[in-house]
Amino acid sequence: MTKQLNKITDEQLLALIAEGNKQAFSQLMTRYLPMVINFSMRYFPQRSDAEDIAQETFTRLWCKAPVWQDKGVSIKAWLFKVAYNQSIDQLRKQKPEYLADYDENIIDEAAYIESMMDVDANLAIQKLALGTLPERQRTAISLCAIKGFSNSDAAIVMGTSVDALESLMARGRRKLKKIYKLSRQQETIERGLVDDLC
Amino acid sequence: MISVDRAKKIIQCYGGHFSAWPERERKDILQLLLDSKSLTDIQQEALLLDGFIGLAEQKTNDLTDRQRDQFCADRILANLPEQQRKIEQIRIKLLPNIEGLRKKLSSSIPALLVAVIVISMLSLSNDLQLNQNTEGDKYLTVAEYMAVYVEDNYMADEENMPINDEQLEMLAFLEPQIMDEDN
Repeated sequence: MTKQLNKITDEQLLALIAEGNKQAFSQLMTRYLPMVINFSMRYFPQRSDAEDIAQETFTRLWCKAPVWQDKGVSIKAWLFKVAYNQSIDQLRKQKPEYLADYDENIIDEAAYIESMMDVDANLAIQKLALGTLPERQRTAISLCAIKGFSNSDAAIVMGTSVDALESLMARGRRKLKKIYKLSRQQETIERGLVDDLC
Repeated sequence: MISVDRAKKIIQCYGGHFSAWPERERKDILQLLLDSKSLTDIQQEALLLDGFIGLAEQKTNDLTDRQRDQFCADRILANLPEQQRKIEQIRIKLLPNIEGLRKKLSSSIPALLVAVIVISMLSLSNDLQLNQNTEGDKYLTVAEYMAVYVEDNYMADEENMPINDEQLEMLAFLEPQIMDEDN
């Protein structure tokens, strides 16, 4: 049975889930749960928060399966859309000022990198680079980085057009490029200092 | 065939790796890359940035994360609520009918109003008629009705029934009118 479930499409799995088949539901989780958790973790530092989002998302799918109406949205896109909306709602509850008053121009990349100097700079910069971006730019880049996720799926998740999505990604990547260049410069300076000391 | 500008925009948006580009434009970009040095440079820069973003992305490939994913999946399965299938399906089945009925009703509201008014008028008219007595299938006038009423209630038992002052007054009032109509 499990072997058969491996081979069937998401839509066929959903039809089984609609009949209350928990094995089919488990199979769908095997396919997408890690991706949904990973995606939600871009909004929350704690994995437990991301797991809560994933739990709510999959539980909703379980409940909705019997009355699922095909509106041209893939199950994968639907899952990410629910996870995205839940993450944003949760984020608003936790940090209302973060999204409400967010001005993407406030972040000064150089100052940000400088602030990270005391910790393991490279790793911190690399890990948190996406964190400096406005939420929608970060989401657009993250979604399109997911394997097998088309730009139209990403646009559906974010409730926007493909053109707007591309614009968000382009702006986000430009900012990341700045951070990347600054981090490279910093690295070169540090290397020079170490060489001088030696 | 897409333009070089479009190819440049795609690479700057989606990154340097061809698998990230939109499928229908992928072939054109690869073709353009063969002929354009500037485009190749942009792709190289984008690939470097991809590496940087890729490091920042958190992966769930290690064993610990896989175990945690499994724990999470088990927790979700253990806490699944009941699927309220039947209720929902009934609602879905009924919903289109209710919507259709609502549409039909809303479109025939003027007709319904007219029908209500006509029925009310007919009913009122019928009520007025029912309040009148009949004599051999013939509707009586008010005076005729009063005369019959008095005849039935007073005249038939005139000898046996004592008449008080009030009744006398009524008779005195009605009698001339009855007499006039008879004449």
